[in-house]
Amino acid sequence: MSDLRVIFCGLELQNPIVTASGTFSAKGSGKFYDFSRLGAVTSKGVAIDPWPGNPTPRIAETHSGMLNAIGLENPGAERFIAEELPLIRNGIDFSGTRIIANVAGRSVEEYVRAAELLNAADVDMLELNISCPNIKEGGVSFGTSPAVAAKVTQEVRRVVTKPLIVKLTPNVTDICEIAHAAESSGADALSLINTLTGMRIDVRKRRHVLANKTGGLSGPAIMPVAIRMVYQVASAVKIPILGMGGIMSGADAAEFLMAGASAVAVGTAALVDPTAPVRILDELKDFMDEHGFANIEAVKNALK
Amino acid sequence: MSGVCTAEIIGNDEIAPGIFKLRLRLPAGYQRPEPGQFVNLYLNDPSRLLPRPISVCGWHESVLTLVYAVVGAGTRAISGYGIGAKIRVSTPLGNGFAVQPVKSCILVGGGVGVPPLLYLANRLAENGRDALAVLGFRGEPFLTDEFPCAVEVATDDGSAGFKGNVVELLEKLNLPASGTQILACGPKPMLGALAKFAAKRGIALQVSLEERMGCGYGACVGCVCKTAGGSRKVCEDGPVFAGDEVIWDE
Repeated sequence: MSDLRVIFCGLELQNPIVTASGTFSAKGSGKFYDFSRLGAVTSKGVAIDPWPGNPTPRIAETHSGMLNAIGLENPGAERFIAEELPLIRNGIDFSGTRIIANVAGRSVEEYVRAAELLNAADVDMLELNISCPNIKEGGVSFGTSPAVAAKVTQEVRRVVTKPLIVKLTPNVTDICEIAHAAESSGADALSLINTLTGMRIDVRKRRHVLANKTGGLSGPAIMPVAIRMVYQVASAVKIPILGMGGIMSGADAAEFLMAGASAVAVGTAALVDPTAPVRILDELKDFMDEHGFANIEAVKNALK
Repeated sequence: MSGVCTAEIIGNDEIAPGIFKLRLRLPAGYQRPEPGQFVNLYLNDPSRLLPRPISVCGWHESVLTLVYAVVGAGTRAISGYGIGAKIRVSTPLGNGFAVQPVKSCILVGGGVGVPPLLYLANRLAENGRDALAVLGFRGEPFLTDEFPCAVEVATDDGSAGFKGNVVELLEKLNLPASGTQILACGPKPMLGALAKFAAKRGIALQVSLEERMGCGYGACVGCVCKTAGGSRKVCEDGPVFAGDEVIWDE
C-alpha cells in the first residue's frame, strides 16, 4: 500500500491531489464527489472587492483544450470569507484537506489588502495569482516581469504569515527568471502553469468566439508545455512546485511528479468529468501500487 | 450526491431538419428530472472536452428523452451516435420552472426551446393543470403534435400556423392577464421581447436561459447572466429565472 502523504510548504497534505483555481466550488463540486478526500482545494480567485468578470461567451472549446475568459468574476474577499469558505470547511469536516485561497488583484495594494484579509481567515495557504491572462489590469502583467513579480511577492509576503504560493504564467520567454524572482522575494512555493493566452475566430460568423477576444488555453493540449516548465523550474529553484496543466489521469499526475512537482492540481479535467479529482487520486494510487512506488518522494525521484 | 452515469442510446432520430430526438436508457436509481432542468452529455471523443448541456424533454421509467439541434461539431458528432452506443450523462442539473397555482399556464417556446416545455406540459397534464402552448419556429415545426394541451404555432415564414413571432401571436391571442403565468424557453431576443410583453400586461413570467457553459455545475463561472440581484450563474442559479429579474438590454 503506497503512502500518498506529502509535505508541502511545511504542511502535511493527505495526498498530492489539489483542485486548480477556478474549477472548484464547494456546493457544485460537492454534489459530485467528496472533496475531503483531496490533499487540498483551491478557491476561485478572490479580490479585495467584488469583480463583475467579462461579458459572455466566456468559454470556447478547442482541440483537446478549452479557452476561458471569465475575468476573475468573484464576490470579493469579505463575501468569500462569509459565504464560500464555511461551505468548504463544512465539506472537509475533520479530514486533513487543506484550503488554498487564490488571491487576485489589479494593483500591488489590492493584492496586499486581499491577502491580508484571507491570511486572517480560515484558510491554510494563499496562492498569489499574478498570471491571469483575462483581466485588463493586474493579473498576468504582474507575472511577466521579474521585477514586478518580485515587488508584489515581497509586499504580500510582509502581511502573510501562512504559506505563500505564487502562481506563474507560461506566457513568458524564460519562466525560470520569474520563478527566481518569486523565490527570492519570499514565496514558499510556486504553482505552474496558468493558462496559455489563445484566441479563436468563428469563420462563418466572422467574429471572435469569446466576447473578450482572447482567453486562457487549458486542458490536455497544454500538458507538454506544463511538464517542460515544471521540469525547468524544479531544477532552478529550491522551493516546492504545485504542478498543473492538462492533467486528465493518474498517469498524468505521476508525470508531473516525475518532472519535479511536489503536488499537482486538477483543473479542466473536472469539466470533462466532474469527479475527476478523486478519480485521478484513485488512479495515482493504483499506478503507484502497480509500479511499486512506496511514496510520492519515490515517484518524484524516478526519472532516469 | 449527483453524478455522472453511462447511458445506452435506444433512439437518435432526426425529427425535423437538424433536430434530433435522443432517447437514453439510464441505470436504475437515476432521479426523475424536474421540468426546466438540463443534463450534460459528455462526448465519446477525448479531444472534445466540454459537455453539451441539453434540457430534458421527457422521462419515463429510466428512459430520458432529449431533443437537440445540431449547431456545431459536437452536436453533429452526437447525432451520429447509433442505437446501442454508450454515452456519459450527468444527473439533472440546474433548477426547474416554479409553476404558480394560477388558472392557466401559457408555455411559450422558440425553436430548440420547445423541448423542455413539452416536458413541462406533460407534467402539468399529469397534475390536471390547464395549459396552452404557444410555439415559434424558424422553419419546420417539431414536437407540436406531442403536446397534451392546446397548441398555437407561429413560423417566421408563415409555412405553418401564424406568420410572425410568438410575441406577435400572443398579442393577437389577447389572453387574460389575471390568473395567467407564462413559462418560456427560447433564444434570448425572444425572451427579452416576451419579458417586455409580460411586464406591460402584469403577467407573471419565468424564463429558461441558454448560455455557453463550461462545467454546468457552478464551479467555473463561465455562464452568467445579469440580473437585478447581480451576476448569476445560469447553470447553478438558473437556468430558470423570473422574467422581471433578468436584465435584458445588453
